[in-house]
Amino acid sequence: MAKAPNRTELLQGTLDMLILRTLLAAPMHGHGIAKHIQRTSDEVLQVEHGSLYPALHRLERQGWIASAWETTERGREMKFYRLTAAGRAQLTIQESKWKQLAQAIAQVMRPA
Amino acid sequence: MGRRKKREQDFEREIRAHLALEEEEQRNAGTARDEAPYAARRAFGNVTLYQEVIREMWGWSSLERLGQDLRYAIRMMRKSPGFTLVAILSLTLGIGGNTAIYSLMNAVMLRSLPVQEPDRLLLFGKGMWGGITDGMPDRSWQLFSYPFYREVQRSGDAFTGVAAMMSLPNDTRGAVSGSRDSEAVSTRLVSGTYFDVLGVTPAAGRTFTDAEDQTPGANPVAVMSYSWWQRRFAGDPSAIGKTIAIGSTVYTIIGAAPPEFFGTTVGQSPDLWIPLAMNAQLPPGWGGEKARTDPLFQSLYILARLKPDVTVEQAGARVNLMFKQNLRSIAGPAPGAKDLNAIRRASIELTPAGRGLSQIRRQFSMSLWLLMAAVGLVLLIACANIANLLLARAAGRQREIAVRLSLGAGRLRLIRQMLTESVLLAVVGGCTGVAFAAWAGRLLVRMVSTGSAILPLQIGPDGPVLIFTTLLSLATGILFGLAPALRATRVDLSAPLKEGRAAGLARSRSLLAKALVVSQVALSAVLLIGAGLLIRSLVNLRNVDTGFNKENVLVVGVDTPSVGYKEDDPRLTALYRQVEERVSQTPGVRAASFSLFTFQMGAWTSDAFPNGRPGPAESQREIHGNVVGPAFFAAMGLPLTLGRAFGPGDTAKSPKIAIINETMAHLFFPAESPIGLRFGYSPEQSGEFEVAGVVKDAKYESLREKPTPMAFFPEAQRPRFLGALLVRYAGDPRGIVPAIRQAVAQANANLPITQVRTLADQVDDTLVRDKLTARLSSFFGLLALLLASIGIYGVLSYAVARRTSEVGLRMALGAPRSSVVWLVMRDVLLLVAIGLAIGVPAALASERLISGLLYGLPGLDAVSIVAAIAVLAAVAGFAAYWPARRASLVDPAIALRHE
Repeated sequence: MAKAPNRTELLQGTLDMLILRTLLAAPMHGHGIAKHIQRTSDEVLQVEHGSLYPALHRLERQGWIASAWETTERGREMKFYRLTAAGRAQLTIQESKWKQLAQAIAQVMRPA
Repeated sequence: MGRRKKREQDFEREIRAHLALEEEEQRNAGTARDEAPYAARRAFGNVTLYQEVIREMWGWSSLERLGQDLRYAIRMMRKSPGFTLVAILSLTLGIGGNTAIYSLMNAVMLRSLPVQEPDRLLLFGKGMWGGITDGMPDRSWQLFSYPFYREVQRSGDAFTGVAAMMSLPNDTRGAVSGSRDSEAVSTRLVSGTYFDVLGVTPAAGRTFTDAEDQTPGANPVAVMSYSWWQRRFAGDPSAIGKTIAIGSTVYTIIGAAPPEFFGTTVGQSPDLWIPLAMNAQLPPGWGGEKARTDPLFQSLYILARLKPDVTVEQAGARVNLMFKQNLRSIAGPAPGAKDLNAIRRASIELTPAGRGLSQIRRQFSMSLWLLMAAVGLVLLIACANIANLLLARAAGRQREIAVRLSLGAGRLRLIRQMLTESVLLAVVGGCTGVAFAAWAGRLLVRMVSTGSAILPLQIGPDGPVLIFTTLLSLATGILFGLAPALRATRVDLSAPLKEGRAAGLARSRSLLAKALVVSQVALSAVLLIGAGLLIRSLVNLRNVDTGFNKENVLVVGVDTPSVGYKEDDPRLTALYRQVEERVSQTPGVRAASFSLFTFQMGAWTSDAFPNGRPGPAESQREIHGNVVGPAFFAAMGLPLTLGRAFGPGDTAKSPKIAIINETMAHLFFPAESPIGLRFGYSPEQSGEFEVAGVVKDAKYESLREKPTPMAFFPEAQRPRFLGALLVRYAGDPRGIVPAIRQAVAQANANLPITQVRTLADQVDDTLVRDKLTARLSSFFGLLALLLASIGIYGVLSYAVARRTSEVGLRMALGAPRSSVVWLVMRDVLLLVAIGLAIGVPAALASERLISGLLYGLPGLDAVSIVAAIAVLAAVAGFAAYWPARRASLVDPAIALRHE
């Protein structure tokens, strides 16, 4: 496995947000979500694939995502997750919280 | 179950699909074909762990996991039956002992009366006295007059209801309608408000009311207890309406109390309750008519139910105000300084009565606390033992645990599983413990009961007891399971997987094991020293000089009131004389005399004043009194030191005389012969009694009592119902008892004999608490010793097994066997020494706590301490010797090859 140039540990709770954000575009299976997060973060965010599943199941239990077995274009049976209406609302909340946080951190790091 | 399985399979399928896809991508990215599956797994992480996490997250697995853990625990228990048996046996004794003592405590000290809102019931005073007193109240008062009861009831501003109970039992005989013979019935006089105030509803029929308690002698009705209804009438509803003739009155049975209601005194369960208004009619007719009118005839307990909006303090203030006003009106318009002083000091303390009154509570509460503590320590020692055994077993499972941890099992998960095992052990021990406690509880009740009657205590495992045992079992399981579980799972993963033993772990394990042994020795030392002190006290009490000769004396209970004479009837005195004469003529009888009181049966006390002398200080004026027949001193074996005994010439008409004991002679007539001098019960009447003789001091109420001033009065000059006939005999008492019965029947055919006991038994009965505490604490001490020696044996056996190669090496180099034995035993003796160094001071510190139970042991008792140390050292040495010997018998050649 190729080592990423700069691996960063995910902040607690951010993984949920990243999953929800990923699913906003289209329904996706666990493997796809992991790859998508890795790819879009330029390999900076490296998630252990397994750690995704507790998060997925937690989100499903909270009713923010729903799952179903589907066949991919290449003929594989995969379990696909998609965002629910509640999940969409949750994503908005988490995103605004995260923005606040990021802004706050930025202000501390770079005082005006 | 189905949904769980499905979800699990679903997740497995999801993982498989994930891994397959990743594998394919890895291959496409150029990873070697046979490397790809591993790369995929690496990218995924710990599959088992995530499965576990998800299982946990869905929340359905905790029950399932418990089931798994339980099955596993049962398998482990079956695999080592020896360990399981020892563990469960010691837990049975530990938990069962705790449960048994606790259920007795619960019955005697803790449980509420089965009445409505018991916590709103208040008793006037603490119920410390029982009897009749006619003194002006001058301290915290315990007994009250009938007029005062009515006054409190009338005022009615602090209480919703007030009830009164005669403090003395009316144990008498009665004949149920349709039956010719009379039988013993235990009755209690209670006010008409009694059942209403308590809120007790009858199981059948009705209870009596205040209206039936107004006119003396007008309403001969009785409420029977549920157990008497069952016992006497087999629960037949037609029993209600039947009558019972007691004395010269016929009472109608109007109802039965509910099954759980035994009255208001724990340790007594009367058969019948009768309205107070029947006092003069119901034998022995305490005080007759005077009991209702005389404001200084104080014989009642008063029980009241507090109004919801009144605090205990407010009620107490009102009651005390009323009490003092009442006393001032008794003292008259111009009270003397003595009365005023008394009234100033007189008070009523309102005490919670929700748990009922009890003499046995006062008698036993300290012993029960002590025994509870002792049996608690035994359980701790048992816990230490099982923890040690679990540690040893965990050491054997180190590799298994390491494998499971490295395969991804969570540490918490493993700890939980090991705790499940230990809690299961404790719960099994708890269940067998409850069964053991049911048996031991009955034994305990028999041990606290005196005479032939078993104390009516309900000690069955009720709600509170079961809750106690359950919590105790769980706490026990966690207590002995937690340390081994924590220790066992703190593993350096690589070391145990390699061959051989992890020395570091073993050392820390043996450190914990050693600490456990030290604590076992320390706790055992505390228990053994405590037991030693209690045994020595009991021996001291047994050797106390009673002053009288308790051997060869029978105490025959005679129900004199049931003959039907009044207390001041001259025929009563004649009857006493007749019975005494008849019985003393029986072959084998040396002397026979009636007595108002015999040992520990009570006392009548009053201030006395010598004639024409200053007399003792005010605080020492109180003397005890007894009314006896002419042959009393001969029957008791009490030698006279001066003057004469009573004789047939002392009649109602002859001059009033008394015989006093040496202590009273010294106190009241110092430095002169008291013969011919006089004393009385008030300064004005100090010439009432002439001292005719002085008798040797004796113990009257308790073996622990200090010398007490005492005066004896002849039965002819102070008429009373005398309930005990003392008979000194020679030879075999079994033949004499029927002869005595016959002689009594010849004197008067209507005079029932209630029971026959020996005076020695009666004296011995006063030691029932001391015997109970000494016996049980020695039993617990021995149990502790046994458990501790098992602990020492176990730890040492393990240590020897570990040091086999070292021992072999030493022997190969020429060490003699004895030095090997010493090498091994040295460690244990050091542990025992440390344990003693902790335990002995702890025992000495706790000796003060039990000083109330000790007798004749001033300061430190070297005998108990040395004995305990010797026994402990000997047993520990014995337990350690066998493993040490085994080590010394090792063949060096085999030992060296061992590892």
